Parts: sequence; C-alpha cells; structure tokens
Amino acid sequence: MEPILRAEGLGRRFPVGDGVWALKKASLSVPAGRFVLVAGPSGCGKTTLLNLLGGLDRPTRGDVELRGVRYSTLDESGLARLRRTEIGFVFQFFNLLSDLTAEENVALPMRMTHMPRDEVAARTAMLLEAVGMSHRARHTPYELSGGEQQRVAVARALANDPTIILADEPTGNLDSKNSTEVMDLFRRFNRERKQTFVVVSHDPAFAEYADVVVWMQDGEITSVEEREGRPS
Amino acid sequence: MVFFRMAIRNVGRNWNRTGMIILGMMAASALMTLTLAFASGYPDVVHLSYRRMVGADILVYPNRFIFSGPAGSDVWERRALAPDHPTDALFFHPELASGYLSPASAPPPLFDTSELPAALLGLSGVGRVEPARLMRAYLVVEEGPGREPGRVPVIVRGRDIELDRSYWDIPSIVTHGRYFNETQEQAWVALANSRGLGVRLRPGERLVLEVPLVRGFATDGSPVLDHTDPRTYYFLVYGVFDLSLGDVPLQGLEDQDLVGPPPRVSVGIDSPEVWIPSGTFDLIYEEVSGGPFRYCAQLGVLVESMFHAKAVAAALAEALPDCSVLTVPQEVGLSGLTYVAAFDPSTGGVQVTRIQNSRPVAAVDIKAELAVLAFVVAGLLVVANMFILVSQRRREIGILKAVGASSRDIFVLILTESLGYSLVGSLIGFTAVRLVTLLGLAFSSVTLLEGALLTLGSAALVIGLTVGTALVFGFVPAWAAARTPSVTLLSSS
Repeated sequence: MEPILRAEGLGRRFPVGDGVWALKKASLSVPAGRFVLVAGPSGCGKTTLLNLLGGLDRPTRGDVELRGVRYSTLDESGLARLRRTEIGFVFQFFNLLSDLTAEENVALPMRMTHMPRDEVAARTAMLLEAVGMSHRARHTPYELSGGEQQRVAVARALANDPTIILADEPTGNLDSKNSTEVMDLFRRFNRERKQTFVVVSHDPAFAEYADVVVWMQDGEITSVEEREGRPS
Repeated sequence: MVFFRMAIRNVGRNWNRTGMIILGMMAASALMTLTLAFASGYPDVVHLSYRRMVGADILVYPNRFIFSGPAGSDVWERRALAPDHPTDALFFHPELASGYLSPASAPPPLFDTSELPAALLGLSGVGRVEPARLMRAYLVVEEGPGREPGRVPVIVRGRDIELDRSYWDIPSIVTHGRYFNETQEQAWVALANSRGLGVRLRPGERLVLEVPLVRGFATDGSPVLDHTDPRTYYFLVYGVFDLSLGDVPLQGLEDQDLVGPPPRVSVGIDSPEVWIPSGTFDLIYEEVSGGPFRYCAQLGVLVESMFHAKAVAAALAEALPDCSVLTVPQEVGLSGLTYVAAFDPSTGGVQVTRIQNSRPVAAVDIKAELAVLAFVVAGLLVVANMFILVSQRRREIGILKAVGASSRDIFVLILTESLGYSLVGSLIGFTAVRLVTLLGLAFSSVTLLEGALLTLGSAALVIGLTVGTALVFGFVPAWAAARTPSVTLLSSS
C-alpha cells in the first residue's frame, strides 16, 4: 500500500551544551488507514519524532512528506495550513483552550478553514456525539475530568477530517480505565473511518491496538513490527 | 477574521487575566490624564479664575523688566509705563509703577499685530494672537436708591463673551430691553467687576459708558485722549463679577483680640473693569478713534495647552527680544503666589501683600520634566502589560499554532487583543480621572462647556497615546510569540 506519510533520515539536534541529538536518524512509512504505535522508553525520541512528523518542529536533517508534499518546501504559513487541514493532534496534557467550551474547542479548527457556520455547528455536534461528549458540550475544560478532556481533544483532532492523527502519549495523564477508553476510541475511528493514527506511548501494552509497532531506543528506530490478528 | 473575532471575545472573557491588564492600562491612561490636566493647569481653580480674568495664557509685556545693574557698555535709562497704558503687568509687577531700567535702544512699548513675525502664527500650539483690548472710559453713575450721580474712571476690556455666555446664562438671542441696538442683538451687554467700581450694579440695569475720543498717538504709542467730547454708549448689565483671590488669614492681631480662629479677609482685585464683547469693543474704538483698533500695550497669545506654552513663550522671546514673556497660569499656579493680610493697629486698616516665591521659568521647566517622567512611567506600564499578556499565554498560542494558526494569525490575535485592552482600559482610566476633574470644575468659575471641550481634546490625546503605545510595544512580544515554534510554546508550563 502506498504510504501517505513518509519520513526519510530524520534527525533533530538541540543546541544544549555541545548539542544533543534527540533523534539521530529515523525513516518511517505510514500507509493510509493504519494504526501505528511508536513505543520505547522515556527519552528515546518518540515525541521528537512525532513533532517532526506533525510539522510542529523543523528537523536538523532529513525530511517528511505527507501525501506527496515535502515539509522542507513549505514556509511557516504552508506548514500551518498543512496542520490545519491534514493533521490532527492529541496531546498528553489535552491542550484544550481553557477559555473555550468543549464545543468551541472542537469547532476551532473548522472555523480556521472558514467552514460555513451551520456546517461547523452540525459537524461539532456529530463529533461530540461520536466521542460521547454531547452532554458536556457547554462545559469548559476546568469542568471536565481528564478522560473527558481527552475525548474532546480527540473530537477536535478529527474536526477537519485530517489525513492523519498524531497522538503523543494520549493516555499518559489518565487512569487505566480512561486510558483503555481513549485507546478504544482510537481503534474505533481507525476501524470505522479508516482514519490513520500514529500514537506515541511508552507503554508497550498498547501494542495490541496497533497494526504496526515502531520500537525506538536512544534516538533511533530499532525495529518495525507488523502485527496481524489484533483484537477487534 | 476568525482570529480578529476571537481576540475581541478574549478581551471580554477570563476576567482574571483581562481585569489585570485593563487595570494596568487604566493606571497608565489615568496617569497620562493627570499629567495632561496638570500641565494644562485645569484642575487648579486658581489657574482657571485667572485664565478667565486675563483671557490669555501668555501675556507679552512691552518691555524687558530688568532691575539689576547695566552690564558692559550698554546705555540704560529709567523708564516708566505710560499712564494711559492699562496693563496686567502692573498687577504682576507693581514695582513697575515707579519705573524700570531698560536699554536706551529698546523700542517704545508699542505693539501692532501686523508687526509680529508671520512665523508666530505657524507655531505649534498657538491658537490665537490678538491685542489685549483695553480702553480708558468713564462709567456714568445714574441716580438711584442710595446712589449719587457721578462719573467713575474704568477700564473697558474687550472679551470673547461666548466663553462667558453659559457661565452668566446669557441667552443666545437677546430680544428685550430698550438699551440695545436692535440690529446688533446680544452685542451690547456688559459684565462689571463689582469690587472695583465702587458702585453697586445689578443684572438687568442700564450701564452708561463715556469713552473719550482718541486724537492721535504719542511717540511711545500711547493714545492722546480728548476728554472734552466723549461718546456715550448704553449697555445692559448681564452679570456682576467679583475678581476674588479668596480669603486669607489676617495677621498682626494682638493675642487679646483673638477669639476663636484667626479672622480671614477677602482679597480681591479692585481694578475698575467693565467687560464687553470684543466685537462691540472694536465698534466703539473705531468710532472714537476714526480707525480700526491699533494700539496695544499687551499682547495675548492663546495656546492650546500648557504643553505648548513653553515652546511658544521661547519662540516669542526670541522673535521679540525686547519683550518679556510670561506664562501667566503657570506663574500663578506654581510659583507659590500667596497673599498675606496684616492688621495695622496704628491706622486700623488691613494691608494685603502679594508674595511670589519662585521664578516662572523654573516652574515651566519642572512641569516639563514631570510630564515626561509621567509619560515614561505610563509607557512602561503599558509595555509590562503587553509582556504579561504574551508570557501568560505561551501555551495557548502553542495550541493555536498546533491546530493550524499561522504566525500571521497569532500576530493579528495578540495585536487586536492589545488594541482592545488598551482601548477599554484607557477609556475607563480617562473617564474616571476626567469625571473627578469635571466635578471640580462644577464648583469653579469655569463653565462645564469649556471643561467638556477640553475633555474631548485630552481624550483623543490620552487614548491615542495609550493605544499607540500598546500597539508599538505590543508589536515586539506579538512578533516574538508568532515566530516561536509551537513545540517550544507547548512546552511552556
């Protein structure tokens, strides 16, 4: 299957002291509709890799290509446009805007694309329904539990029907029950909508949800494991 | 547009953050308003009273007042003010009545506005230049209850009565009264200083003025008056004012005379003055002299605010080197003018002395420094607010960038919010301070109309400055936030 996301020789060096290579060299291909788990111990470069794949950061070397568009050819505005329309993010700390209600948070990416107001409202309601948060639409993040906030964040990530969703330790701040619920949500969207996911987690237990598990250590991809017969 | 709308909404929500920033902006604009008011001299009733009295902010006197010894080989001579030159200089410098030293080469004390440098009118802040309209005349006292007929010498002063209209409640069109020229409605009204005339006049009464003819001019520019064939003019007294400088404690009393607190005496200016509209004044002058008003022993320059006064005064002093330039309200307000009333047991009378503690120039300089300092402090407040606004929201900006906001969007968001905060803050700050000032005006001799007009100009200046400062200093943090990678912003706690 033709990959929609491809990373070639990605490296990221941070100017700390003599310079630290958080990601030494990583190449990765993500085919459409797959559920990819990037696993490995803390500090192995998983988040750095995800930030580069999402265009949140620029690599020191290498390049990323999403649906044929190379990030290195895009300026800041081009990358922003790409993030707005092609990529959905889910973060460990939810990163909802605290001044906005759940539905306003979900509607935000759609409003940036100048989608008609009624269409935004309809799609927001549909997404909140899909993540089971319709009854909490008018609540602000402060009024929601961690699991609820993450559900809203998932709905926001799906807002513009992105090509790919990148999730950075989405269960890192949740208890086991909520963790399972969020991962089940991911799996459901992956199965039902053929939504492509790249999920970073230090917990190898989530490998059971993935089609592909990318193992990392010390800033490098050590193995890519294709999994079959994962639970439905 | 999305970010513009979002910015507007952000100003109105999250009062924990918004409230603090608006409070900061309020403080900045309030400080600016106070500075402006202080520099304009308007909070001080003394300024306003005197401003109304002289009708100008800068008075130019016809000669340099030098009392120290002559320097170098210059030839100096003692001069005296011409008796027919009624001038406020004598009020400020009563010692001039006995003469003053001046370079012999100095021109006679004569001004004609046509001789003024044209550049004067182009100076920033000069509102109007006009000769002080002063004329010698006689008030004809008509027989009445408790009043003997007679003639009292007075000074007729031409004024912009429009400014006095609302204060004295003069109707816009006067249609009654047999003392008016029907074709010149509202022109033949007068205000009289009750303290100086020695005759009690009442509003609504007829006032008769005899004005001597001007037969020519002496070499020093003063008019040669013919008192044998005066012209008579009739006015309606529309107001009777009392040029009062307030009550001062009476000193010099023996202890045994004191019962309770020290007695106070009212100190007033007993100049026998009658104020009439400038237009009326010019008509009379033309009739008695056969030509347009020309002589002037005093020049009034109206400046838009005291910020301009120093620059205008300096320019005038340079353009007219033989003149002394006084910025009157500042002298009155800041030079520590005090009045002392002393009881003289030998005569049984009360002697009132005016004391001036400092030089007006020093007062002007101090004002300028204070104004600059206050504006710098206000500017720093705005800058601090802008940095707080951005630093508090680094993570939020990171989230917005992650979900697709471009650097330009963030820039628009922050700058629009800055504009909103500064606009709301400066409006509230300005209004609060100005309301207090206007309340003060309500109890002063200044009309609220004047105060309101001043308010509009000051509002434009203060709000414009606050918003401008917020935008200028908001630009840097907004630009920095917009350029910072979202991954860096997201890692902010």
